[in-house]
Amino acid sequence: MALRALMLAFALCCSGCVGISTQYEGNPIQAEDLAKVEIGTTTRAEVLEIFGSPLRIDRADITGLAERALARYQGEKLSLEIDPSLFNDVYIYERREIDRFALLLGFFNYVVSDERSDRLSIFFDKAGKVLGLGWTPGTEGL
Amino acid sequence: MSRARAGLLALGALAALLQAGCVTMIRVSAGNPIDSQAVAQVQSGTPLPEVIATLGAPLEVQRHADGKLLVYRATGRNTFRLGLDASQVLRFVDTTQLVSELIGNFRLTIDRVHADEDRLVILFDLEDRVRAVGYRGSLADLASF
Repeated sequence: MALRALMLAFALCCSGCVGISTQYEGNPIQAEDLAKVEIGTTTRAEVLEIFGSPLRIDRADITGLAERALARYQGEKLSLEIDPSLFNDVYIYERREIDRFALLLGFFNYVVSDERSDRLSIFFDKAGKVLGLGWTPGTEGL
Repeated sequence: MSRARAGLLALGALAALLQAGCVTMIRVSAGNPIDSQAVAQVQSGTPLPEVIATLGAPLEVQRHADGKLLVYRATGRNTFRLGLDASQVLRFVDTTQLVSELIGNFRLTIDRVHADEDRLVILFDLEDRVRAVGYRGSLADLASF
């Protein structure tokens, strides 16, 4: 009887659960579409046609620019010259993936969480044409 | 002591130990890894299109009055936690009230957290050419489990 009770207690100690989850955020980015973009030629409108609406459009924050300049300035008058190139847009596309694994045994718990993203940044020049393209297929490493 | 009794005792001790102790290991990583060999290719004067073609999309683009700043970052955090709760052993042991009260209040938790990140900052001039590169790669030093 005592042996059975101990065996039961031991089994209870060893019981647990395993959790596996994958979370996706954002629309997938088709890597084959990258070849359709030509540096110096493709326009903003064409980029929108190829990739659709970006997750975010990064624009210059004039207030932030002025505040940063003010923070470094010591004097009475401040005249600020801002280069127009700082106002060029950056379109950001992102597809994020989070993989989680959990082994919960009570006496031993092991949790792993890895987050990566496929990220595409497209920089435009003053004429609204693609200046450069940064592509990171981060989820391939998961 | 018979072999059966010794086995019973060993099993009881193991069950008590499993009840009293708890080990938790947590590993969290976020952000795309930064290729240190690619970072080495970025030199002063390298144009922005070439930088992003080499390093990929930055995590963040900041604009300052004297040029852009690209930020790349990958973080890692490992946590190891050992917990001991002696009161759990009392379920399996017959002791006096004094001993059980003394042991019952004993709890120990040891936490060891190691967090680090690979961080790359590239400063450009107004012509979008690299002015300076700041890189710190520490994730390789993060013990893996």
